[in-house]
Parts: sequence; structure tokens; C-alpha cells
Amino acid sequence: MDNVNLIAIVWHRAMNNLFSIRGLIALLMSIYMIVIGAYMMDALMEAGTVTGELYTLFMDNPDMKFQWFFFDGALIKMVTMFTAPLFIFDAVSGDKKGERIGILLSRPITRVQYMIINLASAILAFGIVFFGTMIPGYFSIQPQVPGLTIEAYMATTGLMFLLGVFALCLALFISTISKSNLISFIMVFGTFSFLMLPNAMKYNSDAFLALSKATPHYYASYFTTHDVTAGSYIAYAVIIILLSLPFLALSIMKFRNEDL
Amino acid sequence: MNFQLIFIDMKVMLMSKRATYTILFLAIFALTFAAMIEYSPEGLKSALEAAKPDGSAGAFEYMWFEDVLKMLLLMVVSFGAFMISDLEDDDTMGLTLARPESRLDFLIRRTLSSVLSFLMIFTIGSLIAGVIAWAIVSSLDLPLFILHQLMILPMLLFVFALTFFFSVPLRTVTYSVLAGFAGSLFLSFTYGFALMADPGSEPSIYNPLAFGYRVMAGMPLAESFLVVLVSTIILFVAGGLWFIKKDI
Repeated sequence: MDNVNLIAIVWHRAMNNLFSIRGLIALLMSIYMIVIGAYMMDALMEAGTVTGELYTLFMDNPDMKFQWFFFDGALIKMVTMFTAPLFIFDAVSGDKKGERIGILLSRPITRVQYMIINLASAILAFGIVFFGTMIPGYFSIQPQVPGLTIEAYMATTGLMFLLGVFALCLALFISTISKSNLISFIMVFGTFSFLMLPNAMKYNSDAFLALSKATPHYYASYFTTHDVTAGSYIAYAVIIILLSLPFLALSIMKFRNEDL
Repeated sequence: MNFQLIFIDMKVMLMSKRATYTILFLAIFALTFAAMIEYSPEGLKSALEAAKPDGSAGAFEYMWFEDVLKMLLLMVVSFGAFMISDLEDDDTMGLTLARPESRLDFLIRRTLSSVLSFLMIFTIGSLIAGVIAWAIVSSLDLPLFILHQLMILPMLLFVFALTFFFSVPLRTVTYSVLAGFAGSLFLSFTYGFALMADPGSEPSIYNPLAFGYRVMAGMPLAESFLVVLVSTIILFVAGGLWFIKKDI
């Protein structure tokens, strides 16, 4: 076991993910979203548009306008449905399908290490794309939204990254139980489409608001409508991580007990 | 043309998990979004009613075409992957092409079987989705909604052709689906954001994915349809020629 350099494996796997068509798609999606946030905000939020009307109806804090629209309205979908899962949806199912799993596991690594490597490399690849576009993105967005402070922007960005980690854990679980990459992709996409609904519909009724509190989306987007306070921020970050861990544990348990 | 092979292909496609998921997704999305609209606060309902184009079948259809259809593109793309990517993934492409069937015949057979299978599944799914939505949102004009769903088929065939075109160089299902889905989403988001930025304007006729919006809004279709048709034919022909000349 002591001959394996796990950090090097994670790094190589992350680079393989990044320098592939999925890395390119994730990068393009992220850049696209930043451009929209930077240059189309005012037009998209104008009174008379649906988004503009939603804002008028449900938001009473003009200082949060950008945060609410950009993070809660657009970025949350991109992170959970399009960017993060791209790096992991075929991690286990792909290795099983290509019959590489036997060769991989014949190396001196345990099955738990194999799963951790998959998750860690996906988190690394996602983090590079996500922060690599969000940090420069601030400097193109800020001139259009003068009230936006780097603290508030980065605080919400941090929670969105954790939401991405949740997406990766759930997608890893789906990949572990799927036999084909395509079915895994469809299941991941479908699952996240439904999982984000309670948060998207939280304005509709108190029932949806209560339901949304069972999803990490609510905690990741909380500070798009409320001022950041240190205590709540840490608590919400911990809640998102705690919601992710059961899926990681389930993935490992399923994979450990699987007859390959 | 061997019709027996087409029927065998179609049977496999119609019995696949992709077909089941397509119908399931259409039904569940219809249920969810219809409930969402019906039980919205009055202010939100009014905003949606005000935003929906005059030619649409109601606020539900407006939401369906603006949001749900983007997600359902994944199902179209997954059917597009049936054409050649599935065989590449199963390592049966070489074996299939070793049969006494020209590559052109092979392509025509796979195109016909996958397109026909998709049309059947999409029609059944649209009917189920329409009935579910109509049962919840009574203001939905059901016949018009079904008609609009069927009228967007040329646009969906464009997505189909795009996936096929990508699948020639990319080969595997995973990459073909990723590229086809991302490509159609980019086109879809582009016209969507342009419309949001300029409410009431017409989407560009040169964006094939805007054809669905034009259908829903009751806008003139002739020029846009021509663009979709020509783009689809170009993608099918270019992809087909590439595949025929390609060293497998």
C-alpha cells in the first residue's frame, strides 16, 4: 500500500478531467454565465420581464438584487446540473463499463481509496474551473454592480462551491449504482432538476419553503437574500457538508460490497 | 432496404431505459410545473400571464417551452446517440459493418429507426404530459399545446442531427451526448437571454433552437423552418459523408 502516491493519482485524474471535452464544456458554461452576469443584468432585471416581476414581488432589498438574480437564479442551476456533475457522473460507471475497474483495483489501492480518489479529483477539477472563472468574474461584474463587495461575492461563491461538492457526492453515488454512463448522466441530471425545485418554488408557499430547508440549495443561496453573518455562514457551510456525507458513505458502502 | 432490421433496431430502442425515462421525465415535469403554476401566489400568476406570448396555449406552455424543454433536450440527444455511438460503446461497430450492407444503407437504417422510435416516444410522452397538465391547469388549451409540441419536431430533429454529427469524431455515447447537449443548450440559452433582454422581440431566425419559441408564440415560421431544415440536412449529410469515409 505504501508505494502508491495518492496525491499524484488525484492530480493526474483531475488533469485528465480538465483537459477533456467535459472540462471544455464546464469552462465554456462558466464563462458564459459570468458574461451574462456582467453585461446583461440590468436588461434581464428590468420591470416588465418575468425575472423583473419576480424581483418586484418577492424581494424587498435592492442591495441584494445582483446576488439574488445571479447566484440564486442562474448559478445554482449551472453548478448543480451542468458543471459539477460533468466531472464525476461516469467515474465508477465508466470504469465498470470499460472493464478498467479490474485493472485499476489490481493496483495496491483499496476500494475506499479508489472512491476517495474519484471524489477528490473531481472536486479539484471542479474547483479549478469554478474559482478560475468566478474570481476573475468578480472584476468584470463589479464595475456594473457598484454595491457588490468582494466579501459578499466570495462568501456566496464559497457556499456555491460546497453545493458543487454536494452535487459531486450525489453524482458519485448515482454513478456507483448505474451500469451505463448515459443512464448515470440522465439520472444525475434528472435528480438535480427535481432537487432544486423546492428552493426555486420557495416563494410559492410556506410548504415549499419548509421543504426547501431539507435541500442544500436553500443554505447555499441563503445569503443572496440576507446579509452575511459569521455564525450562520459557518453553520450553513457545515449543513451543506453534512448533507453531502451520507451520499459519499453510501457510495463507498455500495462499492465495497459489490461483486465486480 | 431491410425493413426487418429496422424493426429489430426500433424494438431495441423502444424497449430501452432511455425511452422509459423520456416518457417518465415528460410526465413528471408536466405534473411538477403544472402544480407550480396552479398553486402560485396571485402576483406570480399575473406576472406569468402577462409575460406569455399571445399565441401560446397558456402560462403552463410558456413555462414548458422556456424551462422544461431545455432539460428535455437531453432525452433527444440520448436518442441521437443511438445512431452510431451505441454500437461504438458496445464494440459492435466493426462487427455490424462487416455485414454485407453498405455504410450508406447502414446509416439510413439507423437514422430511420432512431428517428421513428424517438417520434413515437415523444408523441406518447407529449400526450401524457399534456393530459396531466390539463388536469391540473384548467386554463391550458390542450389541443393547441399538443399541436405546438408536434410542431417543434423539426427543431428536435436538428438536435438529433447535431448529436449524430458530433458522434462521428467523438465516437462514445458519453462524449457525443455531452457535446450534443452542451451545443443545443448554448443555442437555447443564447436566444433565451436575448429575449429576456428585449421582451416582446422576435428571436433570430438563424438560431435553430429558437424555432420552438416561435411555434409557441405563434410567430411566422416559414423562414425559421427553412433555416432549421437546411441546418439539419447539412449536419446529417456532413456527418454521413464523414462516417462513410472514416477509417473505423
